[in-house]
Amino acid sequence: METNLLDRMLDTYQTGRTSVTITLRNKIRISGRIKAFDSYVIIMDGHKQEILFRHAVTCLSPLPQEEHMRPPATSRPAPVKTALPRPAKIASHKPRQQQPQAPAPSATESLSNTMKDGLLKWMQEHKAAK
Amino acid sequence: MFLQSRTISAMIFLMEVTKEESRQAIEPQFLSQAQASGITLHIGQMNKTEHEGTIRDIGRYEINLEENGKIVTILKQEMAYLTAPHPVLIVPEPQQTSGAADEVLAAPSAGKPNIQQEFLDKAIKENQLLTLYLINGQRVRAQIEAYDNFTILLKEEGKQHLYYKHSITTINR
Repeated sequence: METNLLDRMLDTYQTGRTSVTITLRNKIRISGRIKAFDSYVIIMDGHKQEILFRHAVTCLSPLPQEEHMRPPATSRPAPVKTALPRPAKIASHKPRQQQPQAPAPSATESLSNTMKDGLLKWMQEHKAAK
Repeated sequence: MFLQSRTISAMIFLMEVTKEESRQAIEPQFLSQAQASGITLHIGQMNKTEHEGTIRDIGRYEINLEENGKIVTILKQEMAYLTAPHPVLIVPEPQQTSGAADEVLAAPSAGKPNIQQEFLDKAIKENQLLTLYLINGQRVRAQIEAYDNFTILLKEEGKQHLYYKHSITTINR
């Protein structure tokens, strides 16, 4: 039985630079990248830096967006082969295909989208604060 | 005469150890069995959030659950219960060694009575229906199958539940 599984998971997420969602005791979800952690606290690197105590953490999971990106990345070669001839044959199927594969085409595109969203949100918040 | 009494005391000691070990092993046994069989567990947390998935890794203070293809790390200290759709852990009947078992049970209570142990042992023996009240206000009615230092194993409608003691406030008969 592993004595520090959480430490290992935090370490993999930190080194892999994956965005994670941390759920706290009061059901608040905090998402962002893990900047650093020790045995008592975790420093998150979201749109603003925050420190959270590990005794308040209930659950740690990778962000759903990142996770959706990952499975196609491993099984990308197969869909790409079949996807290449298909769009040329039937144009009507195009929109239907694009929807489920939305995260697959390019990870950078969706990433930039999330960044845009984040920026927009931040700007709105900034305006509201002013 | 002297030898005989020594062997008997040694036997009692041995049985006590095995009993103690079996009592301590309920939770890890349950988790490893669930992991080996790849069963889908339903996990309720103290803050009433729920998870469903299969166990990937078992740590001392947390477990990794595979939920919809992603790995979620859940801390044991925040888990209230685990529910398996069908029995995972088959608990041996405690009535096998009736005479000696009573002696073993009586031995620790001679010095300092363990109230909780007595209560739970009696409930197991008599197949009592218990009502558990949890910290988050939930109420559960079920039969107790076994327990260890940190958990209680319950059965209810063919399902098997593992409740962490830290999530229980009261148990009523």
